[in-house]
Amino acid sequence: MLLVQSLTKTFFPGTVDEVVALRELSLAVQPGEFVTLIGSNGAGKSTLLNAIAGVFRCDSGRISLNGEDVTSQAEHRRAGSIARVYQDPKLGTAPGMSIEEHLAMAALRGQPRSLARGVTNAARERFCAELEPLGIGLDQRLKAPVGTLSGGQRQALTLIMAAIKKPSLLLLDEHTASLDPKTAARIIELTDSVVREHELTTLMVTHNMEHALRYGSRLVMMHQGRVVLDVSGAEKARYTVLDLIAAFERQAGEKFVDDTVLLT
Amino acid sequence: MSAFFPIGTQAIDEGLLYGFVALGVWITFRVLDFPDLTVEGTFPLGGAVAAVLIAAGLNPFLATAVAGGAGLLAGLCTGYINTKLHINALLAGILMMSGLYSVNLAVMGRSNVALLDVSSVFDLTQHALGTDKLLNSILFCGVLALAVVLLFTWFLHTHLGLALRATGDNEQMIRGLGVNTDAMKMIGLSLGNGLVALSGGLVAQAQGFADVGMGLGMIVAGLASIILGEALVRVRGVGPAMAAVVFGSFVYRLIIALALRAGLGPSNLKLVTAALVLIALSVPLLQDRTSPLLKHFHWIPRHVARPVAD
Repeated sequence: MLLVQSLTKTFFPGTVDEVVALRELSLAVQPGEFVTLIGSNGAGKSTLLNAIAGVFRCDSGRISLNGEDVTSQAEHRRAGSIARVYQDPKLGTAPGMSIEEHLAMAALRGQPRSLARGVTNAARERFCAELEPLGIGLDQRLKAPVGTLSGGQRQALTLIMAAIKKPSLLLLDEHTASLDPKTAARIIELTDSVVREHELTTLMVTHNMEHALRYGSRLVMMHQGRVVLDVSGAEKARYTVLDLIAAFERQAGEKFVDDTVLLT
Repeated sequence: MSAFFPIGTQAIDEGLLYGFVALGVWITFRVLDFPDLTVEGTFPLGGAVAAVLIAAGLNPFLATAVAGGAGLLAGLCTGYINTKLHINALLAGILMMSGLYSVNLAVMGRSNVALLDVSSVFDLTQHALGTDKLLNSILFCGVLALAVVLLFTWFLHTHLGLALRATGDNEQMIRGLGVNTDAMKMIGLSLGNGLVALSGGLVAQAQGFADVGMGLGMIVAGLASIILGEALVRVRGVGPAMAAVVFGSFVYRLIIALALRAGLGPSNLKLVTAALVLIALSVPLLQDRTSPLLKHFHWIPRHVARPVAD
């Protein structure tokens, strides 16, 4: 499925700002796995997601998806099999375009764009059926520009867009971090049900340790560009937030400093 | 009133003729969010190509179409320079505009080409319809503008059109959906410059000559038309937005005609237009009372005797 082999990425090499974001990182994700990815700031979580999505090329290492080597494939070429939801709701949507136009664009993920009508009546019915279960009335506002939606509504729409044409891999980059707690809880629940319903192979970066433990089938902790903890199944189910902190301090050899994770 | 009427009809005619420039600029600036300066070179390019071909005896309709095609190619070059050679959008346009100046001179062989004893598209349609010259021009350009607006309304609602609009609205998102945004920019720039060159070809025929300097100030004029259209007609949707742009082009030409009538010298027009665009663009900022810009305009009385903060 997804195979990351000894991936290394250095930003600003040879300057005083040099940062090694990924160090010989390897990770294999099986089909249907829902991996939650945690780690302190600068651990390389977002860099890993960006590398998998093809935002930049890495210095060394290999990335393959469904057995195909995508290491040097352009971002838009591998987008056919990878869907993303970003932290900033603005990044995943185009404010001037309508809800139905977004779904029409997402339904053609990775396919050539023709001169056929973008939003047909048949497509509209399908979009309504996809949006209606959300219960937030988006199905009644198909023609509304997405710029008029709230952050939570946009993230919900982006999740539906990500799943409307089943991707091989779903990348979630702290997609609830910029929402208020109540909305964040709704979106994470929605995420869980979408991932289960479509059996999506998912990689979810989160700062919220509780979310990382409650959701997903496997938990990966990163530190300084490496994987320092990788637990799944029954073992993961036994972990608590305090266990995670202890594991972090043991693996990383330093005190856990980010106390915000204890407060959330 | 009797003085206004001919000015009004004249403005409708010019508004439609230059309306294609406004539509082209709308596609690059508004849809694609690409500040394309190529326009200043593609407008005279269209004029030059049409004039030279018509003077050489080619059917004027065909010549006008070829002029539009030349604009398509010029826009494609700008897109290529920007996306494949990674040259900044403004600089890519400036390079093309500058290069096109020489191209236009080479096409014409001199700095202008007159169309004296040959038939233009306007002569042919007027002959066929048997109407008055001005009315014929308005009819011809009006039908053509309507066709362009309808064609682009259709196009911008196709899957390809949606991807093009999304490239201007959120490039990252649509690339994430597997669209080659470089290709979208090249398509958008081609279409925009094609319309501008089409306008150049028509204007050359309407005024009876093509001149290498006829493109000067075309971007600002196009922007002024867009801004006027958006300010005067509040609409939603791409079709109505394009219609508003054509209407803005008419209002702009009307303002220019009235300014000339009021005694303003033709040499001041570009400055007036630039000032018009500047004011229109900065009004929203000045209306926002929290804008940091306002502290530079403290001499504008807003709240009399308001104590100076901090």
